[in-house]
Amino acid sequence: MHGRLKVKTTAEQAEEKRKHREKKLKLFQGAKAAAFKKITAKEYDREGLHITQEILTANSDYYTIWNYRKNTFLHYKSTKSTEELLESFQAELSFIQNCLKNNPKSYSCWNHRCFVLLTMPEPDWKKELQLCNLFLQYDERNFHCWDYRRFVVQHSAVLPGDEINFTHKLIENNFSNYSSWHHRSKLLPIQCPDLNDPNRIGEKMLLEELELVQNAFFTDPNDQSAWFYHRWLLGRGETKQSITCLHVSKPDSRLTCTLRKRVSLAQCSSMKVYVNGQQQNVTWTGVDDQKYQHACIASLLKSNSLWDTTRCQLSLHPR
Amino acid sequence: FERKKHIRFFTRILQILPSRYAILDTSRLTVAFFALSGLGVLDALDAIPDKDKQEIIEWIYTLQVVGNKAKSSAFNCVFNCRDIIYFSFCYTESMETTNNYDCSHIAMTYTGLASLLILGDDLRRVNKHACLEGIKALQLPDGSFKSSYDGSENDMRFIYCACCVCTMLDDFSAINQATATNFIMKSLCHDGAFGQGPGHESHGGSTYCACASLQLMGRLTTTLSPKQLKRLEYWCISRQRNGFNGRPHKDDDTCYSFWVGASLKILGIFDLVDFKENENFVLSTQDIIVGGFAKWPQINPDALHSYMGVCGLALMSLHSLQPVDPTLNISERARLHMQTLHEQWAVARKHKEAVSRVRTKS
Repeated sequence: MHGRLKVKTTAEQAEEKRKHREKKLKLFQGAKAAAFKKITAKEYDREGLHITQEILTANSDYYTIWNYRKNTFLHYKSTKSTEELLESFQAELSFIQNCLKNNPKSYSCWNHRCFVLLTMPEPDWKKELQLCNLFLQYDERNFHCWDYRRFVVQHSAVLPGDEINFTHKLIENNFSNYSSWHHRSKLLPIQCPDLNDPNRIGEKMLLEELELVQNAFFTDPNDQSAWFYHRWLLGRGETKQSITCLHVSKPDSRLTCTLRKRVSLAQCSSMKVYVNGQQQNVTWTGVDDQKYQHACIASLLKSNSLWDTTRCQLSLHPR
Repeated sequence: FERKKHIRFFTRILQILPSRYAILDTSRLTVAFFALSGLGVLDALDAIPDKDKQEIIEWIYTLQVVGNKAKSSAFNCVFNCRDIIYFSFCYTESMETTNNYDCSHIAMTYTGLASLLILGDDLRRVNKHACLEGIKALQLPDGSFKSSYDGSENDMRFIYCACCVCTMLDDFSAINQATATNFIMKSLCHDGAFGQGPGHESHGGSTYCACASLQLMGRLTTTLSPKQLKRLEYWCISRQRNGFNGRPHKDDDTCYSFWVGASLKILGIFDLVDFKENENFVLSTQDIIVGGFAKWPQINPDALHSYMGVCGLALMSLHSLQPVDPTLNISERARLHMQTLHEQWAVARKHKEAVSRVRTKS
């Protein structure tokens, strides 16, 4: 299913191909039967690993077989010494790498590698980053590899700044590296957040990015990467805070306020509520469990005589 | 457009299915679905004799795996699947004996149910409750779904499969729509389209899965703001060069004529597509000798691209192809059959309720 070029074959070659495929089929069926015996009997041993290795070499998308290997390693974790474990896991990493060489876009392979890294003693994250560098050299748009890289960065001590530099190198080599721009878009808010809003980027960084992306589309105006990134950057700048809507519910004694820029609940607490000139003691809550919200709700005391009046004046003083 | 050759291409696939020819393919049922649905869209299901249709239905039902309900709420990871409640359509091609390690796969469940609908089956033999419980067991706390109970990656593809299964069984109670929607929204990228998960690069396939899932849950316009919808529309329509690509700066690929085309249909802007360029590209990948379509010109055709090629053309109402439902990825005719079944189930439910009310009274 993966783009095989058409090649003319003679009848003889076709027959040879058929015989070879039949033979492969028989071997594969034999290995499968043996593997499922192991799986059913819950025998997690070297033999099982050997049999499943053969199957996965033929078809590295066979997730049931990868799961058998996963269970075997989980079993090993409770039965083997740390040294033996490390050796087994290292061998597994080599095996996965070989599978990936043949099938670099296999969901199962990359997923299993994540399992190994999370389960093995002393994972070498630096080495994994190098693996990512290697596979990105083969195909800089391999999103499986990029996703794995993000997994490695998340679990290791790699700084967002280092990753931003990495993407910078790739972009300088090739402005069309869409995947690099994407990776950058995820890192910038972490590395240089706007202190008022986590979705915004600090102004200094923003201006540097604008210059970078302008270089990109001046170099090649037809490059979509730069234009999409530029559009996104324009949305990252600072906007003025303002109240977009204030709703008062007399029966519920409740104020609901929506703001142009998101705020945290801590920031909300500095918002003052005055009713008919008198400051009210209120506690703001969010609409859901997100840390930064556009909307917040406050309850007012029911016994407040304000509710007897037909006209209320409220003014909010956000920080 | 080589209609007869495409019909022959798909019927040949169905003929070799039971003979375990494609042993290296662990997703036999999805291949069957491509062939069956392909024939449906070509309006050529009659190319399969009724006897064979019945055989295929029987084969699909042999793939239904039903586990026993586990009394405790703890599901062990290392287990014999017979002890676990979860089931659905299993990918194993074993027809004689039930494999002791049969594992259901969410994509097989979706394509299995879809195939039954296409063949006109009434889903009577589907254990709907167990099926939905099985889907429920695959949802993770972050809202996404894994594909199988044993463990797998979790991403947008499987949210889509879950939404399709719920739609086909007319029951969304088994899935947590709020967390699923949350996961989808977290997967929105800087360019306005969706990746496979939070942090992942936007992609035509995952964008389709996200749009279709939101649409199936009835949440597309309530979840995405008008601004977000505009940016999504812009990204999707930008995928067209001649045919469509799945990501900027990638080559056109036949299957995206469906994945992105259907997304545009769902978003309501399919009329902005350049039909002629799209058609020309898809036809350039057609194999005029054996039938079928490939991802690129001069490549061997395969089941997936053949089906997507046909659907890509069907979205444009070309070559007398049957209309395709863009959310479920089946013909409109199959979707109408599903709707009829839902109406029948609703009537049966009402009748049951009425009867039990009478019983409790007396």
